[in-house]
Amino acid sequence: MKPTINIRDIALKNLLLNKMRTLLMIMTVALSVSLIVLTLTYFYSDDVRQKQSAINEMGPYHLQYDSLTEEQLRNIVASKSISRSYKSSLAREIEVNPFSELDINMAVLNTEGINTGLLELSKGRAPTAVNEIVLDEWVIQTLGLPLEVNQKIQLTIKAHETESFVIVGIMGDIAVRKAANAGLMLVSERFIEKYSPKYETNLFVLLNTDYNASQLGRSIGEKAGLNSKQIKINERYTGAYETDASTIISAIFLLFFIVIVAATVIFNIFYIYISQKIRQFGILKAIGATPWQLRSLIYLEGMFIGLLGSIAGLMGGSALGYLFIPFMGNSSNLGATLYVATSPYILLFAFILGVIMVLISIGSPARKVARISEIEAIQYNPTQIMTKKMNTSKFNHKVTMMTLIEANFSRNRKRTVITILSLTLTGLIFIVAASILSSMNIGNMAASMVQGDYKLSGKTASRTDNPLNGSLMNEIKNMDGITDIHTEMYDDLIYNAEDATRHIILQDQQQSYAQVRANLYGYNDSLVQIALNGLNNGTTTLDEMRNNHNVIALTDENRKYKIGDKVRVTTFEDVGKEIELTIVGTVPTYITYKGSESDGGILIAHQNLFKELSLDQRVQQLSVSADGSNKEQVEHALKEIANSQQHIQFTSFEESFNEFNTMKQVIQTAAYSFVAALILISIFNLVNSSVSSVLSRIREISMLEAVGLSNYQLFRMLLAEGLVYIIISLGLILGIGLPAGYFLVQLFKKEATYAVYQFPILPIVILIACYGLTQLFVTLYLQRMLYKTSLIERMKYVE
Amino acid sequence: MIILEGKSLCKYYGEGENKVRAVDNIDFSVHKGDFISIIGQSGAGKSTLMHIIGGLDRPTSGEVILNGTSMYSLPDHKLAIFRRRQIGFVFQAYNLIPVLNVWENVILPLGLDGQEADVQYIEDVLDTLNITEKKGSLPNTLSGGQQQRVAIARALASKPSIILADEPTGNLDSKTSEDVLTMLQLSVAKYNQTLIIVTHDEQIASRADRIVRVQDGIIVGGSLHETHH
Repeated sequence: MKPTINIRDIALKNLLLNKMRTLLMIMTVALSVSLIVLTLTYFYSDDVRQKQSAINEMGPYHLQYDSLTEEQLRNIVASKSISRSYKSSLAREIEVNPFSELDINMAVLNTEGINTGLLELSKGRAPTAVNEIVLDEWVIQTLGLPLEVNQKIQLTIKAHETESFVIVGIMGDIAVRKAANAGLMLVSERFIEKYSPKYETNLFVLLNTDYNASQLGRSIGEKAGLNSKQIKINERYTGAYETDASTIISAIFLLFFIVIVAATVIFNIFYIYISQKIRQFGILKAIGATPWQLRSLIYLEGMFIGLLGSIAGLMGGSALGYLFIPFMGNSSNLGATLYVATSPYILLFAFILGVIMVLISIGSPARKVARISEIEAIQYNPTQIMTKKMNTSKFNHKVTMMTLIEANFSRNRKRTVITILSLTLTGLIFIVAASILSSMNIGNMAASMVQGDYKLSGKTASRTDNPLNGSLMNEIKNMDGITDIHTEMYDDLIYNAEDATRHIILQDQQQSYAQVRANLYGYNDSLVQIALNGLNNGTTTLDEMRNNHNVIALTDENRKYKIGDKVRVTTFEDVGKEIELTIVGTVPTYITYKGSESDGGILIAHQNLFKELSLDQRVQQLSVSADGSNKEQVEHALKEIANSQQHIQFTSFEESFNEFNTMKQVIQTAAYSFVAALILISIFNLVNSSVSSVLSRIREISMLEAVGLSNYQLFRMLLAEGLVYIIISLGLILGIGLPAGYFLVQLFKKEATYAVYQFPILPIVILIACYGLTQLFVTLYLQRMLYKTSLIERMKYVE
Repeated sequence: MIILEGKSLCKYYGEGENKVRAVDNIDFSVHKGDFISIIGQSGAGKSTLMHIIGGLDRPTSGEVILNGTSMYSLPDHKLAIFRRRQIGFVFQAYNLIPVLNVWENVILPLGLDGQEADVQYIEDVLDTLNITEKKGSLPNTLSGGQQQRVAIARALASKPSIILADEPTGNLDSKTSEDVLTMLQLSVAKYNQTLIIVTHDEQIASRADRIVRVQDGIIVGGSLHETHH
């Protein structure tokens, strides 16, 4: 036998002998820490991916200074705010074949930093000799060559003889460059001197700090005497490295919810525990425990739970991260795969947060224990009334089941309130998340990509290409089963500066309103009709669109129009002549998703306007609808066309739909799993409340049985007690959650116009089933547990 | 030798017409080795008096001096430490800690004081009280009499100046009561302890060297000033 016992021993014994409570709390902490780790790891992984893709696509530099004079170069390089700089020479006026013949826009560049910081080759080395070059992987493949270094290639540089060059290095593909047919040929300094003596000197610059890098870079350039056109910010890199406020807010918001839910539950479990064990603490105090020792006892118990729960949470969260994050990453439109990036700081933070969360949650119960009056505690009866306001002046003629249930709730109102609060809080998150998720309308999302069943888009590199030409159009029109054809034209306009300031908010504050570009789409009759059907503002007819300078505008946060607004624009062909367009309606983007857009936004006109203003009248995109029986045939024929012509791309509504649907399912799975974990935490609370409510009344319940409470009545009483928590919580959840969900969907619609509010009926049913079944099982378990001991033993029950 | 003294002890609850004088101006002194029983009807104020003597309940006025220290002049945390070193309690409801076994319950007051138990002494106490075999058992596996004997062992563990027992046999049948009381008396005598028992049972009270009757908060019979021996 040990000769001594201390507070730590008592804390450990308490934990070991109250296994269920200990386990519930450890699981609560573990689950919340898992969620914290998962949330932070996701944000961190996404951040790392953003940064990595930014580096891969553009290189690790904040900005580039173009067309530098010797003096400007010297001035910039002298700046102390620059961490690294890479000088490069761009051969601007050079045409290299066979690249030009293959429609590859080839940039020919000599630069420092190849394989030494600016640009990593996937194979080989930087060119040094005059006949050495480095090419993109896809360019080499387009040329039909193997992906090997040190192979020879014949190139014809304009105004020079065809010569033999050696590929000494290969660059990994960058999706955006490849998609734009934009190649990069890295050459030696001697190559530049020989073939392009009038080269342009550029400087890629990495600054000392990511903070406010754009501003800093600009001021360095301006001090060196550069004009704004010479300073090009690497938005991709600075964007990825600049701290994104909305991401931080989302992360804090999620963490806040996890911590609040878990802390409420831990507080409640400890509060109930202390209320039940108040006598034990009273005895400890009577036989000599100081308030400080009692407080330490609670804190020690909390610390053990916090430590164990946090360790389990770190393991669980990391495991979930490895399972979930790559899966989440697939839904991203970033293209780059999302790898799990972990940081010891995340684990450390989550661990500390887990422990602190427990210690803060038990602060108030610990203070309560320290303040315990020995006399009151020793005389305390766990079934005694804890509420001062209990109504004792009623004298009913009949005692019903409800009288007993009501009395039990009044006995400990604080416990009732906290249990309801934690159920309500998690239920609210669930209903709000469900409202938003159900509102994601996949049909709308897919329809914004493909109007009708199939779409052919032209990839045009120059203004003379016309892949979707008249003869192809006729071929398609004559296909069997085609019910509708929608065609789209496209051109750019220059916005009148004064009108632009009125309607447009420019993202980049440095940019001038003088040259804001707007994208004008020309629709045929059927497509205009679809757009008119989708107007969220304004009324106009197809005829008015055909015969006047009327346009429909796509509106969002940065582009605002009222019906009847006049905007003045010029075409690139005739900059001197201004045309006045009238806004006759506005549409949400899902009516016509256009992908990237210019700062001036998107305007939609009838194709007649394109003819009248002599804009680019090539059909850029063509969508068809086919009748059911011929669908397969039409799809096959259109795919054939796309496969045979390099510049035509085929998309089907169904494929888009499936793609979005997969994405939605991934988001749904992630969001629901997250909420499910929170709900599980609140269910722990419900279980703990129900179990401890019965445990503290074993004698009382046995007395009731002794005086005639039947098994069935006991079951009904225990079930009803739990159901009261659930019914009140559900009332609050639906009363607050549904309007809140509706309101948030309206907000969400501003960002995602494809959203349509849907009443989350299935999630509500699931929530009710979850809570109801839990209570049913807990009641059955409790009744079985009670019946394990005889009535007499239970009546004599002393802890 | 006087080890315990009470001076003008008062404990009042409520105000005005509702004022209850649970203890009303009581003086007393107790010598080392005394066995005193305080007897009275339910509500007479005997338990309140014992709580005040035991440092559990601050009096409205007056002072309690134990071994030369005025207990209620101490701040709460110092009073707790003083109490665990000087006073052993035996309660009617045993009040053992359910998660600790018999041994741990007994040495708990020492543990709270950061002391190691005198193993031989504790073994001896357990032996005297005939519960050595139950050392490793949890309280809920013991009978009422056994639990009360553990509580007595706990009261003796820290070799306090005085042992206070509040209705120590209130929850026990007469045979067990007799056993427990005999053992309590035996241990107190063996370890030369001072014992004050609060009871409403004349028979139990009669075992003491001195009987003090309390009614409505005042002493109506016997005296807490008589000297034993």
